[in-house]
Amino acid sequence: MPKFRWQPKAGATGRYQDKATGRFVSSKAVRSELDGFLDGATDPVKSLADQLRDGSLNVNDWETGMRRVVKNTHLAAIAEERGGWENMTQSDYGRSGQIIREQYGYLRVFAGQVADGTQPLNGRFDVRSNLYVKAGRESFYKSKQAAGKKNGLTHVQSKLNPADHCWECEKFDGKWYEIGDKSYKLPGQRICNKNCKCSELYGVMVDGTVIMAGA
Amino acid sequence: MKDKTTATKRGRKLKWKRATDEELDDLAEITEADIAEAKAFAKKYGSPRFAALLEADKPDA
Repeated sequence: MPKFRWQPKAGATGRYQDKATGRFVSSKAVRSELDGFLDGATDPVKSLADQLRDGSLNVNDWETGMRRVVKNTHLAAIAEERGGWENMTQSDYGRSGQIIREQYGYLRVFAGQVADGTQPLNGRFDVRSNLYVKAGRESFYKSKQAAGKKNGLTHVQSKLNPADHCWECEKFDGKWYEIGDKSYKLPGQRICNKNCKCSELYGVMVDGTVIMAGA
Repeated sequence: MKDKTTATKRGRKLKWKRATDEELDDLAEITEADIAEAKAFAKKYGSPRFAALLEADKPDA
């Protein structure tokens, strides 16, 4: 029996509601659960890296394994943003497929660099491998912006994570950008890269002023 | 002469077949089996609460 119900009209792009208490789950809590999941999902990445190093996997096998991790991670991140598996639509799966395909392209370049020796199996290799999982945060916000736009939201602003941010995060903090504005970068696309822990707020332009719609 | 494609762990060339764009397009397609696998993956690596969120009901009618 599910503990939560998805309410698509609550908040900026929908919110989870506890069925027993009627209370909404905060966007901070939803994001925190995603962060925990993404941390855990680096375990199989480490295992694949170890197997590549000890020779029990070749580069193609490693790339195939990484593709599985990428697909699982990004699908779950997007599903969390969309209100869970039951609330995913064909359009959501289509968007997920595009995001995953983009990651596969980056992964192919990475695998090629491993194969030709330009990316040794060192600490940087581990860091780069983990970024494919951490990019799930970016997918979460890509999905959120797409949903927001569909719901009539027009603007987005970044909300700084006080403990963990870069100067680009500071630059985007608290300023409104039109959704789709190329000068705005999603959390995960900035200098602090996929480790970015900033979040987003959404708004609607009414008579020349952006009205906050929520997180 | 040494085979340059011989697998090594020390920065020399490793055997690898580059996937084509079409192959990646096909691999990125999402099937029912992929969804089942992602559900199991989320349960394994996420918290019980993360799993519970993902199992949320549809909205009120």
